[in-house]
Amino acid sequence: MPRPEDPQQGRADVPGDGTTTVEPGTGVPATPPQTPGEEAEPAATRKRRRRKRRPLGVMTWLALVWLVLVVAGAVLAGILPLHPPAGTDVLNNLRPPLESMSNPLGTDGLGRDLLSRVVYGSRVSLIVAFVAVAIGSTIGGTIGLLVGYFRGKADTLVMGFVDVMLAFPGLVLLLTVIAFVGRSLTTISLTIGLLSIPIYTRVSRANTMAVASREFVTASKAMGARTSRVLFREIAPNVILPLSAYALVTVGVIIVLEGALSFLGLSIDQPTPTWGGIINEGRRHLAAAPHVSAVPSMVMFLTVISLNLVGDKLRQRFDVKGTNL
Amino acid sequence: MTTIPPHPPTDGQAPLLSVRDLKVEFDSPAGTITAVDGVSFELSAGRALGVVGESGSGKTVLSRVIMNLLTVSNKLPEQGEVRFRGQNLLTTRRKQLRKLWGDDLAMVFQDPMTSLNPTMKIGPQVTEPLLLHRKISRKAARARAEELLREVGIPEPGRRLNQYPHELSGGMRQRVTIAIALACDPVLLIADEPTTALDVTVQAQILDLLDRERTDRQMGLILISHDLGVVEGRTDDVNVMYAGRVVESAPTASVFKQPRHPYTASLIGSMPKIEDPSHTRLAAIPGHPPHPLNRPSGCKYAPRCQFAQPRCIEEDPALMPPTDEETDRGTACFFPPGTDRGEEALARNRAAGYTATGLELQPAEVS
Amino acid sequence: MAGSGDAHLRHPEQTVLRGENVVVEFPMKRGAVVQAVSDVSIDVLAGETLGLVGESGCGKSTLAKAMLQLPPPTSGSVTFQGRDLTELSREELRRVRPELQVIFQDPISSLNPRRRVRDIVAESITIWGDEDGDGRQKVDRVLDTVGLDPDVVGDRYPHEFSGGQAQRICIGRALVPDPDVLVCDEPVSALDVSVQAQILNLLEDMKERYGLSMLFIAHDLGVVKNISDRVAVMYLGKLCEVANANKMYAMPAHPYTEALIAAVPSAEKIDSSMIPQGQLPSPMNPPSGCRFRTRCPRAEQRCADEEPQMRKVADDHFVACHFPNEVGDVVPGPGAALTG
Repeated sequence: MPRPEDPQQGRADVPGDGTTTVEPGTGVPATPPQTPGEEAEPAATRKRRRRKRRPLGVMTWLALVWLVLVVAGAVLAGILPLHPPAGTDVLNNLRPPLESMSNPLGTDGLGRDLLSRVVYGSRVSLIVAFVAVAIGSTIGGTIGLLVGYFRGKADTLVMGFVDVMLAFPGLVLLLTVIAFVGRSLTTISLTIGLLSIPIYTRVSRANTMAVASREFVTASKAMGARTSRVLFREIAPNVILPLSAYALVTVGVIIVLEGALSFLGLSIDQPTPTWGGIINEGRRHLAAAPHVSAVPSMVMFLTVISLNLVGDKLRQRFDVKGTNL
Repeated sequence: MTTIPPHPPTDGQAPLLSVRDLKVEFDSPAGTITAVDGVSFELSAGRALGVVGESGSGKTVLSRVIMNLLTVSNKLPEQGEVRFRGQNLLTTRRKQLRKLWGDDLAMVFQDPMTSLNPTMKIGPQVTEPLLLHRKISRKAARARAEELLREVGIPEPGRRLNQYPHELSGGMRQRVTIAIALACDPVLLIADEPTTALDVTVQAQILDLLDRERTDRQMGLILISHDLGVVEGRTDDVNVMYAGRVVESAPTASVFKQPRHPYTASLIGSMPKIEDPSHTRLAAIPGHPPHPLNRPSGCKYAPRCQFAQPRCIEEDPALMPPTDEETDRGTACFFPPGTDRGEEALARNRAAGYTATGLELQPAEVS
Repeated sequence: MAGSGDAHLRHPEQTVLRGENVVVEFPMKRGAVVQAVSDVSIDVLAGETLGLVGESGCGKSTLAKAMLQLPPPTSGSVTFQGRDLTELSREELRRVRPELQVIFQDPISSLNPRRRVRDIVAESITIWGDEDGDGRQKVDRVLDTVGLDPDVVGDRYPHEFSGGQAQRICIGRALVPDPDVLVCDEPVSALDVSVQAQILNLLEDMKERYGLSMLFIAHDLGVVKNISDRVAVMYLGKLCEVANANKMYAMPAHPYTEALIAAVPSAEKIDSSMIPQGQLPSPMNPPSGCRFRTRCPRAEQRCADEEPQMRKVADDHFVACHFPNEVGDVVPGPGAALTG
């Protein structure tokens, strides 16, 4: 596939790219030349032209706004003017959305306010997702960094273990652990986190190996840098960013996973609302009041797709920085 | 920008390829990038045209546009025309173009590893254009493929047909891509940096091969290279490109004997030559080519040019004969090196110590 | 015909950097081993630039990296400032490193994309401490010397620079620790001709200014000749010829050197008979005797039986070939006479 000489990836404005401003009409340089040397670099007169970043795009902005709303709702649920999530009002059940100002998203089979339940439910989803991702990416990221840099026997051993872990049906393991230890928020977050270590190890190792072969790493060694400096000052900063972009996308995956668990009744116990749990409860009313399932499904859908959009955008941005070099 | 044709076809026939005021632009978030900016030239059958320029000069985009192969999403519609045997390729339909590509019009790329399909054996890749454009049987195509491989100097061609590209060395792979390009006896071959990825001894072999095929087949050849040495020995005419423009266009021998554009002169001066003793100070060009979004309004080379005068900042020079006598060549310069105007301008700048664009001149520097 | 030997080495007391019988092996699949550098000796005098030239896969970059102990050679010794680097402990080697600096082919890949230019150039000061307390001034001074305005570039990131400017940054970084030896591994082959000339001139200036010795690796013969005092030609992991730069180019003794020079594109039609035909043999299974014999127009039985040793053919002109060209002792060629 023929490509042009990458016009869009053209060099950013660089100092001394030979441009000199000239006072209009006179044809005389605005300042007398002062810098000796082979490069004409009259710094004072050079036009400063910051490279414009590609604008984020409407979709990404919408996604960001939505994520901020969801996170803010989860954090501030306690002080928002919401109905109590477990407050039943059987006479007022199965109200459709937008019918009354009191229950903007309607009510469920027991007359509980859906908006309140969805907002409180997001707490579980988000805590599980972020705790699990934090555990997985920190531990997996570090292991991947170390084995990717040192290679050798440890690498073979760790990667063998990782392959076994990845081949093992994770859901079965998860269900087993939950059955033994119980269905608390802590157990579920920890288990998902530990189970996701191998995949982060993979990603981190691959990125580390790519960065470690770059010549700035060799240059640092040639300067007499200790291994710890090479690892944490030269390599790690270049691995963390792509790893975070990947982590953001996995947050979405885990939200869906937690939703599936709740739907199956295997996540946090009732009456704590969770997105999956609400969808499950709404199943009974699907014919008469589909909104009970539809509202939490929609919220989950929007959250996950927003995470993917933002994660993708982040990844692109890091990629450009990595390859444009 | 209107230009005069620098080399009217010598034999009075219509040229094989004629490019007129070609302009190629790309849309980018930061603004419109002009990759090729008003380029005109002609090429007759059997002649070799060199296109020389540094990265970002637009030479690669030019090569793709000539074949109308450029299909990136952010390209704006081209302006000007590219006439191949009278037919404007820029307005030709895809379907028609596909009939030309690989048949009358062929191309050789820089990296044979990426232009060959790694999962396909050599045989099918060489026979593909034959089966596509010629009504011949598979067997005949295979026989012809073997013959082609032998012609481009590949030992044991019969065996090679059953090998994969990774089993061949870089030089052999480039020979294969040339064999593919030559399969349907093209009348125009565009070679884009065909030897840049190769070692110097292999480069010599490949250039010899291209030379021989061009002469034998009376084929037009456009040889694109950043290496002046490659172009110097292997082409009849040369176009020197800078910042999307052709700044000098002339018979190759005259360009190297007396360049008429300061950029060409400096480019020749900055090349380390094997005849010069070691530690010869190179005449480096100060600064860098302008960013495509921020090109100066007058002559694009003026900020780096030792000859620059106030006129060069205000006016954009068009390609024209450097002197009244030299009608066979063109230069986009108001003060061509080696002419009275040019020497005057240089002397003026030397006396002042700097040029009209503020470039400081070392008194010791030679033009 | 690429062979071994060390007749071309100078007295150890004159040399700053000296590699003797350097062998670098890489493990391949199924226990096989490929010798990228087989028994090569080179040395660099104080203030000298030794050019190392050869085609891709000849082992020139591997040899340069072995001289830097990045990684150390499989066998052989590398003497720097009188100490054998291969014998040093990790910590001792680390302390020597700032004296022996390197710049690479791809300047962009040589700069950490997440760090600012000033931090990159100050790398050695960050590692080794700022004893005189003028670290920042030193960095700015060096940036200025390599042709960059510290106030403009200091706070920028590498991706904002063109290849030539990035190479200037790399040179600056290598100069901050005041090295004795600068190893340049294809420093200009990724650059455009006009920028290449700037960098070559800059390297010459820096050599003068900082009293450097250089080991300069490149595949481009014109470039190598321009910058080197002495040139060593490599083929398939062995040395073919070592000589004063002007002498070698005027009168190559080795058929391979002759072919390399003849193949340089220029206006004159190339004499195709000089260009080696055939393919580079696999380094996994190199030819017996002289490694160049499979492509050499002069090869005879002796070349297959016996590996040629490096021997003197003229003053400061050494060749490893059984049938070299006749070379006079007189400095030949009009070009060489101009050097003075």
